[in-house]
Amino acid sequence: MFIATRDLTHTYMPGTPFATQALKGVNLTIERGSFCAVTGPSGSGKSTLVQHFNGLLRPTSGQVLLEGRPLGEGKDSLRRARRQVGLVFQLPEQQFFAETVFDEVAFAPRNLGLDPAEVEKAVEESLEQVGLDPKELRERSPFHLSAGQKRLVAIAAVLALKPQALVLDEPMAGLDPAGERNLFDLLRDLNRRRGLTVVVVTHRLEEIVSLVHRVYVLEEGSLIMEGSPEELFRRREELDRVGVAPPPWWELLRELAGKGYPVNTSALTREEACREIISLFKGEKR
Amino acid sequence: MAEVLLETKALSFAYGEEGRNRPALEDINLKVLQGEYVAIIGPSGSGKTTLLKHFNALLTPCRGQVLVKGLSTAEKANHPEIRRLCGMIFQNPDNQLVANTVEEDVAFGLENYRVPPAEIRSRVAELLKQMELEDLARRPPHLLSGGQKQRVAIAGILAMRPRCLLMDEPTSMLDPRGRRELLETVQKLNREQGITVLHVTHYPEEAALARRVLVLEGGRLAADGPPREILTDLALLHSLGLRGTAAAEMAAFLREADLPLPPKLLGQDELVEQICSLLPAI
Repeated sequence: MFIATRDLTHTYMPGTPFATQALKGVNLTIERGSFCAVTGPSGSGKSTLVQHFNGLLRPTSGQVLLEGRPLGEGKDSLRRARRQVGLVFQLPEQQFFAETVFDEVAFAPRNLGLDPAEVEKAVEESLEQVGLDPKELRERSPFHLSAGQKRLVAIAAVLALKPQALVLDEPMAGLDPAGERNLFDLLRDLNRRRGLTVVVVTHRLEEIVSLVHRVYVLEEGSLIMEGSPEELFRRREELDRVGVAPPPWWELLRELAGKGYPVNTSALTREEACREIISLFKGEKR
Repeated sequence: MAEVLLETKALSFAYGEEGRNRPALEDINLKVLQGEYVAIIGPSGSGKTTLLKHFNALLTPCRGQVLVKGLSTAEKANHPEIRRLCGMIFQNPDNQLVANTVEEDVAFGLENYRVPPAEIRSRVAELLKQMELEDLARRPPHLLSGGQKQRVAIAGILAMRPRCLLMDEPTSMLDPRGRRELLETVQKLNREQGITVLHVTHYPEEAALARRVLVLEGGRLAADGPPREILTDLALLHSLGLRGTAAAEMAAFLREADLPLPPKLLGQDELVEQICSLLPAI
């Protein structure tokens, strides 16, 4: 167990006419090294939930556990949480402030009080980790990069703290297909090769479903479903009701299955789906 | 024949002081007719947003001309009318809502144009009804869902009785339901009220809703045609780092495995139909 919540409840603006209960008793456990997706309609509490994982938001009631210890209890607990769990916000490039890529990525390491040589090393490593060339980009303005590069710089700025978990809120939003693919490869690499725990909040599950071990579905602040993508998509009617869109190739396979053709409807990638269809033609299934 | 609403003549544009940077748009010649639904696709940095911003005079050409209903964007005196005719919807709904309540937000533009109060009230009421926002009229916009916020933004634009909606990736922050609602709303406005739509998107399935697709590459117009031609042209799209529709991509994969599928399959329903017609009946 790495990150867990116990009866986590969060109310915005408590005690006002606008008091909104954004999370209602959420219990979940995220294993170290896993790749998780959090999905659900707008306003279901996804961003509120993940902002608890590094103590940015504090529970109204209930607990967040990090490595089994209640977050916020004990000396330095919050500080440690923010180093262990890196949070990448929606459209993070809108929060750029520094004049150079170097200063942008160096912000957090400097705040930790690292000496200049260590800062230098942390910046260089995290830029390399996201596939950017530190030498080429370090003196450039982060505001004048391409959309895809900006997103990568924002992620590098979080990786510079050497977190063990990376939590990203709608990381693909606004990227073009090439940028999306690039980021997909990066997330796969961080999780599969470097062992980072990755949590992605997304409306477009199909973009990352093939990387995901476990999906959490929220609705109106409650965790209503969880499981592997295959388990989840077997509960299609429930997903339809909540408004979670399955990958388009799933629809296609489901239509073929509905017509009586023997296809496995839970293919995780478009290629797998195509192979299912091809096997129908080769008669392997009859 | 419908009249030309938007026109560019040899439009070139570069950012920076006196346009010193690399051109963001180069020699764009384009006509959009009243009532068209046009999608604009292209890799990031290809000039999609820059082009869109020329149609409501947020940007003006460095060389060449942009005309909106015959009015040149180079003339400052034309800007109020051009901006009334062409309203812009941005990617992030939080960047475009200004007032304390939904109804005030919808009225904001009208107040700026000094429309009489009684008229403002009736237009706002009509728009809230049309966009199904009546129940939310007194709510603060920042507490709405993303899809609701985009509908408020559209209502504020429609209150100006525009001829054209300029949309810059309007769905990328929305959930599937919000996305579907927004796209249905826009299609309906186009179909029933003849509102011209320019829709910048990274999603091929959304571009397929248009009747015409423009492809930008490095500030130039790389292709211009119906969705069925453009969004199934995988050689073109892949060379630019773009994708065809899911059906077009799958059809290509299946053809490589020697399935005799016809060319230019755009939608999922067509693909299912073709696959079934090739399989023995069950």
